[in-house]
Amino acid sequence: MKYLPRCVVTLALVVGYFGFCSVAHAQTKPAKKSPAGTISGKVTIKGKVAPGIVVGLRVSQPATPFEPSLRATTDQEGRYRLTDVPAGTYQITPVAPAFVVSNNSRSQTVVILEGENVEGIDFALVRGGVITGKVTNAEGRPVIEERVNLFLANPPSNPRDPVPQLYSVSSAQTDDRGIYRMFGLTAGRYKVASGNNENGVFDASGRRPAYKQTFHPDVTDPAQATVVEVTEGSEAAKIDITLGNATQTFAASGHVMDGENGQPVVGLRFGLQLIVDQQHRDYVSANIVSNSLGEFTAENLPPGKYGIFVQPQQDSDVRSESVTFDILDQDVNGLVVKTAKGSASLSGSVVIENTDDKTVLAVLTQLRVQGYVQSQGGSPSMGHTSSINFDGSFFLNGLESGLAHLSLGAQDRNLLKGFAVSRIERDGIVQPRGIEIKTGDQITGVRMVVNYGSATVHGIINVANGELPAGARFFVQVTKAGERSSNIRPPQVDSRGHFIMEGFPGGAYDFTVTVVGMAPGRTPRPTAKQQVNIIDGVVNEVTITLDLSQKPGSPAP
Amino acid sequence: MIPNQPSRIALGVAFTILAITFCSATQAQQSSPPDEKPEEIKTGTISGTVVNDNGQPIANVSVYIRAANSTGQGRTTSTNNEGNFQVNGLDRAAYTISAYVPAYVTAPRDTDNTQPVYYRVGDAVKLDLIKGGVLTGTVTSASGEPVVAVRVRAYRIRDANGQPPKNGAPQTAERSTDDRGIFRLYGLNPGTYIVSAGGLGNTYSGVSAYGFDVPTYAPSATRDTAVEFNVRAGEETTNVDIKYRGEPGRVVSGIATGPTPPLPSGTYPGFNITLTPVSEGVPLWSTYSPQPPGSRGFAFYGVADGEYDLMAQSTVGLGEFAISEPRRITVKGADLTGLELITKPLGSISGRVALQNSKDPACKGKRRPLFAETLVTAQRNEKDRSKDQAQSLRFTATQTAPDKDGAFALRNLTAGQYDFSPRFFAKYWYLQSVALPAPAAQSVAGRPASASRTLDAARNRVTLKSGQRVSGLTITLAEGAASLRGNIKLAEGERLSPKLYLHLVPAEKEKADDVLRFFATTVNDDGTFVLGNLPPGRYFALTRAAPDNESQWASKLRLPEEADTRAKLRREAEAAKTEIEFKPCQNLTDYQLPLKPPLPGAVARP
Repeated sequence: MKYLPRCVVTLALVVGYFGFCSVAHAQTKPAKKSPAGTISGKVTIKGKVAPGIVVGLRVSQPATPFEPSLRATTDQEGRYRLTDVPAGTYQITPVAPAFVVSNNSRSQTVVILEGENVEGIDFALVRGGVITGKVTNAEGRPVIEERVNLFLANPPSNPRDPVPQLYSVSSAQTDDRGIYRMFGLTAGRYKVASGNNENGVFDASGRRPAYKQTFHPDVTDPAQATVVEVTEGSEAAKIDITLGNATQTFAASGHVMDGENGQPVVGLRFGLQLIVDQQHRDYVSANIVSNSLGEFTAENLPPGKYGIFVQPQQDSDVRSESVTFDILDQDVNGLVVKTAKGSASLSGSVVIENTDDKTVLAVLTQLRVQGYVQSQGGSPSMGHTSSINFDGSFFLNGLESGLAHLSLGAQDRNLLKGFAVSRIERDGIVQPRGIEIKTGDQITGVRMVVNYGSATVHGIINVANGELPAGARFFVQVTKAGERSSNIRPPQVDSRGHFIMEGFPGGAYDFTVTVVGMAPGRTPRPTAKQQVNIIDGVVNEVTITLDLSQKPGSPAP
Repeated sequence: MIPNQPSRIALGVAFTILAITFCSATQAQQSSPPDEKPEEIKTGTISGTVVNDNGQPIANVSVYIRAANSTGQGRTTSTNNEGNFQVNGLDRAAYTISAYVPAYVTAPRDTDNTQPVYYRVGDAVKLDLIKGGVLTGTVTSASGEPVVAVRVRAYRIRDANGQPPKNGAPQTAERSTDDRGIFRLYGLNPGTYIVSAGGLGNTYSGVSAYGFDVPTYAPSATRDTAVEFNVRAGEETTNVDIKYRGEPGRVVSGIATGPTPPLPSGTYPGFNITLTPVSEGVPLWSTYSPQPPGSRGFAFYGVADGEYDLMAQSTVGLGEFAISEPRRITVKGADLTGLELITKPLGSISGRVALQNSKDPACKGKRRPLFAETLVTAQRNEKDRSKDQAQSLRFTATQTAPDKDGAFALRNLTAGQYDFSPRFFAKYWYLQSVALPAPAAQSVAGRPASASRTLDAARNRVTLKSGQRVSGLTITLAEGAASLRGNIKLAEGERLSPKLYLHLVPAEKEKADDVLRFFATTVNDDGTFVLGNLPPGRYFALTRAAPDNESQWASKLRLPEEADTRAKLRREAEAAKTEIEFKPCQNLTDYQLPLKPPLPGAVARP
């Protein structure tokens, strides 16, 4: 199982926490000039109309985590109607946690145009299954507030990945009696586990004792796990898990000195990585700061290979190499971290290639250049940002050595609409793989060439000679005409085959439609490709017809 | 499925810091290290044990230790199988320590002691945890169907001693019902709770089915007729059932504006808005309103009819906040929209701690106070607090540690009158004066500014206007402090009345107005008493009970409003003629204080 680095998880939690105490008010939202549309449909439970079910609508790709949502409640006939929906791409979900949606995925993508009335977004619900049990430790005591994860017993195979990855499809937490209860589960065969996966990221901030991932009833090998069968409305009780002993943890300590004069460095913050293998390094959440003697201690470390390094700070150019150490069965002492003023800088300008519109240039100065350095030694990297001046110039300081990747960013992602980095040049030469930085380099003359697009695409995929099977979805890839790959983000397509793209630069493009999520074995997947000339500043209607009667051997994308 | 998230966090983003403060109020007993020379030891260890109410050690407890003078995160460790922990390599500082293990809570401290406990390097600490209580029940609809995944929230409206929440929001615990409508809130601090289901809606965290309803309080009531539940440590209160009403609530919405300096990337600048029912006096509800360009204002959904105070708060720097005036609103049968809240920066008081050495040979080689172990607290006048409860939420006391040169800044101060109390660790030092230069002294409340060019800020409170930045506060610590250890000598047949205080008042005429020479300490049941950090000089001793059985009389004795009480105490003490003289750095032990007539009554307030 691949976990997200812990830092990302933490960020998500922070955002989630903000979200929890956040409320937006649709009425105070600035009124859109365009006429708003409606989305309606019907909710049924086992074929019977379901009154009183709340149906919610959220923006698919929110520019900030604070995008508000709309809601409606089904009437006596099970019908709902969401009104005042501004044009856009949305996720629509019935709020019925004990139920599962039988006719589709839990949430549906809906693309709505200005003033459009989208009908027939129906949800057929059936009661979900329940899995409940108790998690105890080796001494038979309940394990409290331990996460319990649910895995598919037969994960869908992916031809590109010979080893099927186990990923959690649902989770719950034990209460003060060690009891967990998962409900609203889709019928199927599952494995239930608690504890941490070996390669998983753990929290070294000492919050919890760590247990090795253990499947019901008491096995660590997923292959030995007892499979739990869930059917519609069923309850699988006593799915207990007996964990082994908590993983013993150890401490690693050392001191940090100035690489030039050997003096201890006070108050430095350290980062810690768990080195899984050459490719995988997971950031470990820990608070490690050097004291007034330059000493530091990392605590609560389970056995493993680690790297510790000076956490780069925005306002400081003090850096260090990552010092690796192994935790086996005892504390590690005497680590020595040497600092270096390893800071490089990178400056240049942002140039818009295809417009000199002053309002566009004004928006550009509200954006920022983001730099991310990928170090060769796999040592730490961090994000750097620079504002963009009125003349387009930017300056990134405090960079590590390695390959620098530049991108455009903004606090409000709405501002990024229409801007796309076309290429990065150094001294007139395009740098597709990033800019090489050596310690102490002061790189100048970097050009970030940006395209600005103002075209809107309203796409419709028409299906000919058949109907899409249940569960199948459209996937649209957009490339510059004749090119095989692109960095254009694929649009989200709803079940009707509608999609919207905004801030799109004009030009000739290939639109390739594929059907995904079909039953395995049906190859090749139905595809359709169409070249379209997109014009800036206007709405471009794009209609693509997908012929389901395609025979095997038809041209693939 | 909606994850059954625990949420024992206080209300919203603004109270994150407050929540941390709660966590750190862990009860503990400490044993002080011997009187060593701090200059020689730079770093050291704090060790300790975490035990349950049976005195049994608890393993795998996370222990969080944080220096009061640090803005960053603290250190975390966990207890071993014997319940012991040890944190090495700690710099000299005043530390708070808290312990956390699921389902347990910190053992309540006695009510008289509201100050957090601070530890120093070298301390051995004992932390007491008790098994939290449980509230469990079922939420059903009018037709008897289980209400699934509705948020159930318990508010602790009084603690185990019957005290309402002080200086902050009530502790809350929150959890969703399962598919059977059952909820289980555990790890609750002992006390009295009310429990509600539904409401508290917000549109950001996904769509909630019940968030827009007026909360239904157990058993099936509005707030004013909610049934109270007692929670005892380690006990389970069952049948906290709620018949869910599902009545739609009103909307209270508007926008907040104010200073919004650039903040580090990745943080979302914005406002935290609190909605406080006037009848409660503490906010039950908060929301986060992001800044432009994401600005869509704030909104509370599912608001029941009633009177509320609305207040906005925003972050304007590292650990610095701006707040709005509380705005009184009445919700009655309709939505309230278009409200506007404007935040203004809070005030600050800055200054320095000065150290004054003694040349007396008796004081040679004594330990100096370390700035890193010193804390300066600004306390807002309680009378101001009761006037605007909502506003005073978390700004009633601000604490800071001086930097290496003794400079400090007390930030986030609302308008009001403040007194200051430094805490320092050095046996042979005493608090000599708290002074403010004259220009600032003009705005001092109470007595007219004296002819002297500085204001005695120990005797008078400093008045801070909204957003005002006062500088130049000087807290002088002087070397030469004496200590007193002794007992009350009882004649045959005499008995000690309980809650007796030993008072020391200045004997010298010219010191009669020096509040820092007034001391009170409780006399132990066996008649013994201890007083330290005493300025050298002559004192009268007097035993009396606290007036009106005042708790914390020892600190209240020095408040400006007790000036007449002090004068009266001094007259009585002068008449009693029990005089003690302390030489610089003298440790007076085995002092026998005669309990001579008149037999001690209470200190009488004139």
